[in-house]
Amino acid sequence: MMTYAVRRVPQVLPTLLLASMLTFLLLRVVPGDIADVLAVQGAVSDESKARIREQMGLDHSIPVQYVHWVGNLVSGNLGRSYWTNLPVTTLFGYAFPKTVQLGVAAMAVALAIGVPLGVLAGAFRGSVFDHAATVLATLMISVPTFAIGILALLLFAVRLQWLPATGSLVLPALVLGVDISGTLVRTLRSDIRSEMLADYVRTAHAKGLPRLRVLSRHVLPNSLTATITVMGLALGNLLGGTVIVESVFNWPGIGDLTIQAIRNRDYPVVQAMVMVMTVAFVFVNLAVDLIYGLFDPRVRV
Amino acid sequence: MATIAMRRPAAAAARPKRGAGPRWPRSPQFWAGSAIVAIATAAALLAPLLAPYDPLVQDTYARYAGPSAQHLLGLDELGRDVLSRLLHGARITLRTGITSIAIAMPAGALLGAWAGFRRGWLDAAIMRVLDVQLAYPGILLALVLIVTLGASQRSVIIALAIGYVPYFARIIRGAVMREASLDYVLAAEALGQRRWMMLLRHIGPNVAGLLVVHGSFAVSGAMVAESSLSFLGLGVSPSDPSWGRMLSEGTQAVYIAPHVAVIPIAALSLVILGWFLIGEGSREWLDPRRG
Repeated sequence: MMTYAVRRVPQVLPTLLLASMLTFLLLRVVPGDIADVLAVQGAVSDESKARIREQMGLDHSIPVQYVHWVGNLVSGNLGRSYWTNLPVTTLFGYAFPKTVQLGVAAMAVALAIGVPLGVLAGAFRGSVFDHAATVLATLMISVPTFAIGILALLLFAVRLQWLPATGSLVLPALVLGVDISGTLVRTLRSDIRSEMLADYVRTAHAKGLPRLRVLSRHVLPNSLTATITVMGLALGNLLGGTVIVESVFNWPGIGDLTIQAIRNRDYPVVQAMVMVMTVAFVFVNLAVDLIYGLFDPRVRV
Repeated sequence: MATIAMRRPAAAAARPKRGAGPRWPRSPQFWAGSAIVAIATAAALLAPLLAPYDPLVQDTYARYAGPSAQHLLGLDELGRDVLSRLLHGARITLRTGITSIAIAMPAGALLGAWAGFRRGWLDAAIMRVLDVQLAYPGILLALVLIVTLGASQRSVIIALAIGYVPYFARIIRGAVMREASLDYVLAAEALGQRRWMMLLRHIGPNVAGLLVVHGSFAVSGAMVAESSLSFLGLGVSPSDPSWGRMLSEGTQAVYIAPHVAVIPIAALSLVILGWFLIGEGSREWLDPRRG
């Protein structure tokens, strides 16, 4: 296991390095920088644009800016927002707990809906329940997240007035959870179905083990690999903030912060947030791979 | 996966060969999906004939008017006919989704086939770059690209096409690597066939089915992405009534006139569902053991 970990962990480095370069370059290709945005708003004259660029270090060449940025990043300095002059770490400190809160709640909703539906649909193939769960999962996947969000808003906040339209965790968590559980149901269902056909399951039934026990002790543990991957990808995305849902429900997390920063050309914030999202994604998947290695010896070789 | 050892022989036995299995997909999913997509396509093509009004003409005295005999689906926030906008919007939404995948699919498939067949350092390099894109928040890449290129239908298509290249590259690479290790390919190689000929003649047809399945899934995904970008205000230009834009504008008034948002949501979800069902149905057809 250790050798597998030693080989797998360094693989994240080139990914992170390339991602940091990509972000940096993309932002500098975007026409117009912070000085232009300020100028359009009438806040600065043309001659002070040059001074702003000098202050922000934007007058250096892109490679120099990049090296400077990475140097600061390694020492934990994410820079300051061009817009509010607050340290990016402070903004991150406000937004990240919100995103984690939403992510964890969404995950709980997804598991609560997805696991029972997926397991039962897989175990009782061809039953009415199986068909209903499949149709439901298909709908959950194909209706776009923000559409579910708007409909939920319309129903629960406007018509029934059970919940406030913004500021409450319930609706965004529900919407994200429903979205993820669609994939969860499909993955679990198809893996459990194929696992039920395995020889050892027939043996277990033949020796008189109760159906439910065969399902919970034998079939389920062996059907979880793909599910863990799917959940890992989902969690990695959630921790990076969900741009759309956060903006539908005005949830002040990482995604919302990033969108505003892109609109304002607030480079330090965008760069830092994209790195946060990439790191979250890469490390959650690293963890998933290591968990595999822990309980499936074949992965290690 | 835990079941690889068990699935392998079954996979080889059930592999669809030409002449085996039904010529057309039998699954109701496939036909339901095709019907939805066909109707939407027809509506899009015939929009100028079918639309009762000009999608851009405003009747400011009747803003947010509900459905009536003159305006079957009501009027929007500027008093424009929702039905006419829906029909014209189908052109933009469908064209964006289909065109971006029509670009991404061949590019990704070629890249993946090349990487999977050649292996070695080239494969490793391509896969590392694709890994980055997988880890990179997809919507952000699209957002930054669109801000760079300027918000227009062309920018959205380019951003979505780039975003979907790794999707196809991964799938095709995996499939080519699997096929290339099967006995019939090894036999053909032993008989002295050239490798690229083998790729084309033997592996190609078996991999093509995957493109049908995942092409349909990708079109549905691209349509979701297009509407998400429009929703964030970074999609096609304001004069094009794409469904995503209609929805985004309708959402602002969702409290006063829900129909303005709900109608495009319904249309969009239905067509996305249609593409998804085509993918599902053709997967069962091409690969019976998943049915």
